[in-house]
Amino acid sequence: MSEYELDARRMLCPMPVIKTQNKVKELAVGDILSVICTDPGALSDIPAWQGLMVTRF
Amino acid sequence: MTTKHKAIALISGGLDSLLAVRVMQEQGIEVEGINFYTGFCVEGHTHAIRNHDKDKQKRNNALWAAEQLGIKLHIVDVIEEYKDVLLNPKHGYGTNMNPCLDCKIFMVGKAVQWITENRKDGFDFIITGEVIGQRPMSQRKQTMPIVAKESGAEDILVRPLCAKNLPATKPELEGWIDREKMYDFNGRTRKPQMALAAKYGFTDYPMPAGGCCFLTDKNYSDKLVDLWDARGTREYEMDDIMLLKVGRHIRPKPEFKLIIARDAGESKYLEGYRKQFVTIQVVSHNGPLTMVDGDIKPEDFELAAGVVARYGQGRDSEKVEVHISVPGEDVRIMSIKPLSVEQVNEDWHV
Repeated sequence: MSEYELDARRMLCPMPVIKTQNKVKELAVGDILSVICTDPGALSDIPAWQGLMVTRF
Repeated sequence: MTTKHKAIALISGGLDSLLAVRVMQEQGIEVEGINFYTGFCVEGHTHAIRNHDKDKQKRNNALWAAEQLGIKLHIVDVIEEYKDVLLNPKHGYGTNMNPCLDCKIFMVGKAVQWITENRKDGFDFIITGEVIGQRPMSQRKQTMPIVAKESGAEDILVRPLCAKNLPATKPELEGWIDREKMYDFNGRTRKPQMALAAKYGFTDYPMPAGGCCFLTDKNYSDKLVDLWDARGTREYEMDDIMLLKVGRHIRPKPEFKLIIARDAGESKYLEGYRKQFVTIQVVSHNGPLTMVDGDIKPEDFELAAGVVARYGQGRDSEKVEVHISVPGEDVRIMSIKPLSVEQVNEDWHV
């Protein structure tokens, strides 16, 4: 299990979502990804994207 | 037992693509969405930089649409590839810098590529929310076959909202979908779409007046052309196109432009650029943060500071104190008289 950090500061949505989406594809089960954002919209968009994609695997 | 067919749908976040997918879902088609981010996309967060938009719900419309439809959504960064579409549109521009027809061909072409690269997922065809006559440049009876042909999609491109006005596609001819259960929408009216949305129970859907792209906006296009003219090249980076969405743009000299925040929200956004760009801030009075784009010489600092002071609360003062921050140098402190309205030349406004 590994921990990763993604710097999405100053990016406006949907870029933080896109970067998260692309990084998640590289992760193994159990890995932890922290995403650092400055766009408050990421707080709703990343969970929304996760709801659509990740739980469907 | 019949085979379940699968389609990839271009999702802009607008009503038409939302409806097109639902029409196909009603026919038992499994759909996944794909959204292409060009950097010029209009969406809630960009607007939310400004104070007066703070109350608007912050949401990405493509994600919202996918949630409504219960489909997966793949968001694809096409910023770099899109430069060639914008700079060299084979079919030209619309009223502003909008290369709508080339853009549609590009996006459908990217969907074709997605199908090819993800063959294991078994996509059979492509869905768009296009409607004949809806857009003056890209969605006309004559352009529909051009998009299908030049994108490489050919007969696997289905437009459920106007399919009855178009030749039958492979999914119809093969019996995967029923042509009679699709629509014959035509023209600029939005009433049929609104009626269909009501039938499906969709409410609160976005209906941006200028579509989903900043390039259809005259003010934005003017700023983009000004940027290219000033630099003598049409190259651009992501930061350039984001900054065209922010602030009041004033060009007192050909070599540099001032991007003056219009409220605290924009000031906060520009703060993120302090380490890269020269910034100007009135400190003796409340005033906006200003970023300098281009090549400003020290002898022009007073002129620039005078313009900036015009837009702060000290505009009527004899003197205001201004800090000019050049990355990597000590902050310069200046005491200057704000320019008057007449001194800020009308032609400087981009």
